[in-house]
Amino acid sequence: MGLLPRASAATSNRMEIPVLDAVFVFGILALAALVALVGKGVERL
Amino acid sequence: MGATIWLFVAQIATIAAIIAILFRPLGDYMAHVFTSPRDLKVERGFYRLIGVNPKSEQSWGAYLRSILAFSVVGILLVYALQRTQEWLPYSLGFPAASENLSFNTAISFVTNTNWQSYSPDLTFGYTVQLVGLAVQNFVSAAVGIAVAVALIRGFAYRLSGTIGNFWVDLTRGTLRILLPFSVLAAIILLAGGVIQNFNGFQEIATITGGAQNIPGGPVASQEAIKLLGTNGGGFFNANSAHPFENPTPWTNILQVVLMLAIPFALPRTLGAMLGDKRQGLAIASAMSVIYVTSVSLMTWAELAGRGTAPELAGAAMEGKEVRFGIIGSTIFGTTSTITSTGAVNSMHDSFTSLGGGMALVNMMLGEVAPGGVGAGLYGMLIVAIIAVFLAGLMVGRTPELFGKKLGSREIKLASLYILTTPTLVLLFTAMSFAIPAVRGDVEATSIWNPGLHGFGEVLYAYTSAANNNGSAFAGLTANTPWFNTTLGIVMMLGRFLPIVFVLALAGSLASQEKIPATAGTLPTHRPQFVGLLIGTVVIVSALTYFPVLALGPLAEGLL
Repeated sequence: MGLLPRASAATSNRMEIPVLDAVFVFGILALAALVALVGKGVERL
Repeated sequence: MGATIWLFVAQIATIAAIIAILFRPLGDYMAHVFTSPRDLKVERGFYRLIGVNPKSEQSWGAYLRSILAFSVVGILLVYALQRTQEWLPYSLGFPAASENLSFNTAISFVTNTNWQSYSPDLTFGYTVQLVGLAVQNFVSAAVGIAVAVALIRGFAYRLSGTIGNFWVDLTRGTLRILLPFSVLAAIILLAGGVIQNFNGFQEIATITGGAQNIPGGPVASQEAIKLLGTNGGGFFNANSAHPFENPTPWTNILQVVLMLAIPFALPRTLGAMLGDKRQGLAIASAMSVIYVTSVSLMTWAELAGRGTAPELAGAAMEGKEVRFGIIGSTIFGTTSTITSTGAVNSMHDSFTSLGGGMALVNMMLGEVAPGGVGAGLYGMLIVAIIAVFLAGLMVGRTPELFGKKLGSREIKLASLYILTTPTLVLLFTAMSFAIPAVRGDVEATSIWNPGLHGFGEVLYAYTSAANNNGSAFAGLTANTPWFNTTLGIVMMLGRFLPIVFVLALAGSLASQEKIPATAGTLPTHRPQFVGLLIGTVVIVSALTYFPVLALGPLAEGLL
């Protein structure tokens, strides 16, 4: 499995979406957003 | 036994002497690096490339956003490299890593943890190791130093809305400190027998007529920054137990020195930047007392070696390299776990219950003695704030540190810092056993030592991740979706949430005017304060972790 989308089967030209990659990349961004949010919250202390 | 104790004393004395010699010049040099108004030519070129004005400083919020942006890009890059490995040059035929392993490893190296759920020499080729992991070894260490320097500026600045420029601190830390010293260390390691090549695997005939695959690789260059940057991720699965990474007893001592050099010199940098070098000496003294106590306790536990096998063998040698022995293993093991390095030259999982417990305690102390590069100093300064606050409560003095008043906001931020890591450790360890489906999977797939030790392995994993250490009770199979994902989350939050609180604190302190010391000021450069600091480190950790330690290594040691 690679990061880039590729043909899902020899009989199809449809591109397979790497769902788990999307989930983990989203997870990384969400964790960073959470930290940034805490940073915003801390400003109000 | 007498000779063993003298060997221990001689090795500790040698290491202490080298660190003491380095303390002043290295600490002063780092202070010069971060206060010099001059930029090197190569630095000016880099600033132009990324569009940064090196003369303009940032507020703490901007400094934090820069760190987050830089780190997220790093994580995504390392993730992508692992997922596309099969198409990369010098990949030695290895396929792409799985999604959850890539997530874990990317966060692990960017957060200076270097937890490895995989066997590196059998998982990653040279491109991922060099372009992904080794680069992060440098810059993640530089980020730690930058945050510590930003906090020092918080104490040193007066009525300032800024705490420095992250891009300048990152660049100078990498180019002027980590890179030159790593090159020097790599050359010395090469002389000691550490390998450096791009040979891949070579099949050789053994003397009994068999065949064996001997791995090669650019090891010395990675080994130097692995230790100097308190990273810890090995080129080989056996880490510093591997003879190509750490061939001899003297390279073992050198590796210990490399782990300790920058963290122990940073208090001197603090003193130099504050203009009061006694303060740096006091912090370094507290770190030294905790370090020597810790290494002595772990060594005692391993030499005392309870149990049938150690008593029959005459020593607790399971999982230890004969060329290092118990002393070389406990000094390395303590140094690695108390500096947030996480490298191993022996298997901590095979230590006696109390010896392994000391490795856990070292991390639970918050890795402040001397701790990771940068992270150790800012951790210790947070403890110093708590110590001054406690002392103020006891004697009715207004808490102040290095000429800055510690009000409600500062104490709240220090408290949040102290609470973050234990919350992550205890919450995720509890979840691993409290959620029925997860517990079933953890017990069936990951834990090969059921009972108290199995619990200790899981506790160790989350303690290591939350403190950005990276060492493991390696009997635990952690390359599973549950552990890869949750340890990744814990490493990320365990690194960046404390950084949020430290930078907010730096901003808050920098905005204050300095107040002169009065008769009511608690002196923070005297032995009395050193004792208070040590007591606070121990008490805060003991109160937080004693119950969970009682369920793991303490119970195991008593049975």
